[in-house]
Amino acid sequence: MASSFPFALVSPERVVFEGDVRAVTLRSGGGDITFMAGHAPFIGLVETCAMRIELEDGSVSMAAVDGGFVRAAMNKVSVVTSSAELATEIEAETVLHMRSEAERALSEGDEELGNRLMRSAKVRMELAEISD
Amino acid sequence: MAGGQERTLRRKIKSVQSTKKITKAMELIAASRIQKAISRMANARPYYREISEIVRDLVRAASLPKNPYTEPSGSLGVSVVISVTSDRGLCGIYNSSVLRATERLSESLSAKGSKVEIVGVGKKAQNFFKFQEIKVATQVNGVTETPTYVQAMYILGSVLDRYERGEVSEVYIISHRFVSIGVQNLETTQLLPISKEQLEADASKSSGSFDFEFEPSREAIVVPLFRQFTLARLFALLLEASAAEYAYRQRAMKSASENAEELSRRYRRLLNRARQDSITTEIMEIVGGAEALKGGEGLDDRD
Repeated sequence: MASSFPFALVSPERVVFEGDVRAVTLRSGGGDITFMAGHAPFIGLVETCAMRIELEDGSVSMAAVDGGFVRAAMNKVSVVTSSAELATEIEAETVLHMRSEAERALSEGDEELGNRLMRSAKVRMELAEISD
Repeated sequence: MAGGQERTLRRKIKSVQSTKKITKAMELIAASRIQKAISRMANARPYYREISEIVRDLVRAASLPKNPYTEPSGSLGVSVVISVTSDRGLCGIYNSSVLRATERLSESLSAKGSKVEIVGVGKKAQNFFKFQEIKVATQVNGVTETPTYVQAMYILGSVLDRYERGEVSEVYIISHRFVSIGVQNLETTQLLPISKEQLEADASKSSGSFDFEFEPSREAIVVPLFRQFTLARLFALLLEASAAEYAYRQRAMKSASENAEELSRRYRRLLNRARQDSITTEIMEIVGGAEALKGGEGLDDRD
């Protein structure tokens, strides 16, 4: 039986998730990494990805994370990101708007912003199963 | 004539009282907004704490990898000054003090030989700099009512890009800090470069040191981390400025309401005196008229 540990997902405007979990999987430095109880001290870059949170009761919660950092220390893991949403909070309208903004930025030649927004939009669309 | 004075005073009292109703309402609105702004500050605190924690760990682990955030390119170049004002007035000296401080800072920076670029936040900054014919590099409105992180990214994003390329050497922000409902201070904060001594002092204060593994590497993390850290600092300052604006407005409106109360009391006293005067005059006229009539009869009698 996997033991649990405190985990927090925080964005500048609010704490998106906070509670005891069994495992957290996210994308860092080109590969997926899973944190479980008692992880060695770790600081890493987080890429824009769909994060998998396994709760204490074994159920799974997904969240879209727009890049940031993860820190594991003293059996506590926290992810800080410029913005994040739980899969249940994602709204189709906002995501489609985000995607059109991304397309606009790309057509105006702002590749950096366009690609970033596009990745965020895609992660959310997959999570919330939004299609056109 | 006396009736005219009374009418004017009555009109004045009425207008002062309706002004008082408005200022009183604004005072109450500001008071409730302060609470909301304070809760926004509280919501942002965990993020700031976590990111500061990561910065501390990074600083403590070993000597910092070379990066533009703590070791700027050296030569004096462009200084960016972010001036945070409100969009609306009626908040006492809130805006004028920021703008005065901005002018002073840009003068002293220019005197040192750096080129000053102003980033205006809020309509009051926009109007002021337009009037003074000072060129503003970027102007962002609609921030201090409810600052969002996206706005913080918008204000600082391009500045940070240029800073990382070495085209900007310092970034200052002039804003009101919110200490408590009763205390707000105008402060000039140097956002960039980040003081290495300060970071190291902070890092040594907290206890507990771990042997962190860094992914992909310390060198690769330091720039994006300081970038987010700087944005988090700006965002925190914007939230404080927002709370401070409402506190200033509440105080300004409170004293305006009190002043209206005082004025209406004074006018009422004048009105009462004017009314008494006119009554006295009328009585005097009647008495005088009666006396005159009586006097006339006396003369008739003698004849």
